[in-house]
Amino acid sequence: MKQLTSICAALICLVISTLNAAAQAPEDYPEPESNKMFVVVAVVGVIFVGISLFLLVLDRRISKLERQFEEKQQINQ
Amino acid sequence: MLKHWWKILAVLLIIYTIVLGFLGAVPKMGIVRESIRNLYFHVPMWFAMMTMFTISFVYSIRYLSSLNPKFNIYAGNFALAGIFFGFLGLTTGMVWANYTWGAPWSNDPKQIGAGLSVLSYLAYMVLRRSESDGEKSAKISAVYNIFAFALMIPLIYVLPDVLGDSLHPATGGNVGFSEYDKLDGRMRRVLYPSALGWILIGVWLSSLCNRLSILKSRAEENNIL
Repeated sequence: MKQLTSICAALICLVISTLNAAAQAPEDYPEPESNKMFVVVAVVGVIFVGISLFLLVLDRRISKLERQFEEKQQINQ
Repeated sequence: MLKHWWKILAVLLIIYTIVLGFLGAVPKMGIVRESIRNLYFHVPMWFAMMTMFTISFVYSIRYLSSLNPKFNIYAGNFALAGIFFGFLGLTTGMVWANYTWGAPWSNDPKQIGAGLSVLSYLAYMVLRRSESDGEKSAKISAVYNIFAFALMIPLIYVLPDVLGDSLHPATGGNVGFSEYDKLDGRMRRVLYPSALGWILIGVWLSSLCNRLSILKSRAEENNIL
């Protein structure tokens, strides 16, 4: 819960910081082939893959903890 | 590995939406322009929130009918994930609104409804921690959770339509994105996979929380903690 609160606080700060930035809409729609949008896709993709890997590691750590817990309980019984 | 196929599916679906969401063709629209792509990222947050709250609601009912403490833990953690997506939906919506409606918060009926629902679920999280008597607290919060769900549906889906005057598309007689998407459904091909992907991510997050909570309660039972 504490972590969630700090995540929410960080998000709110992020929003406030973006709101002040001037919105400059381009006059024309750039051609997708030439505007290097794929670079942004790559960056966002890397970030998302990073988060998923983090989740995966967390998942495996919890699984390991569960296994250790089961083993310990069997020994105690 | 086979047990975790849906986690891989979730990641692949979202990578698909990131690629097509930025590079795919979108209808040309007046005020929103390229920011229409936010549809692929902002709207799925609400899909995920709704799904998490619905699962939480079902577990609260199951808890009340069986009094199995596991269901109480599940209900709490799915609601927590729902609140997380609700905050993401609100903040992304505020960024988008700032550049298309001129202000981050314009007292749009749907904005207010969504904000109130997230607040009512925050109250649920407070209630869950307020009573030291385990079963009593679990019962009261399960009943409250059912009430919060019953409150959220009219707040988000009925009232904004009845009140009209909404800035949101497809609300109170406004045209939805589907009107612009009629020709080939290219936006739909990104929106729905994205929604499914984020729902699966939400289930993944909640299941991690569930497993941690269960480990913690078992450790407490065995006097390890």
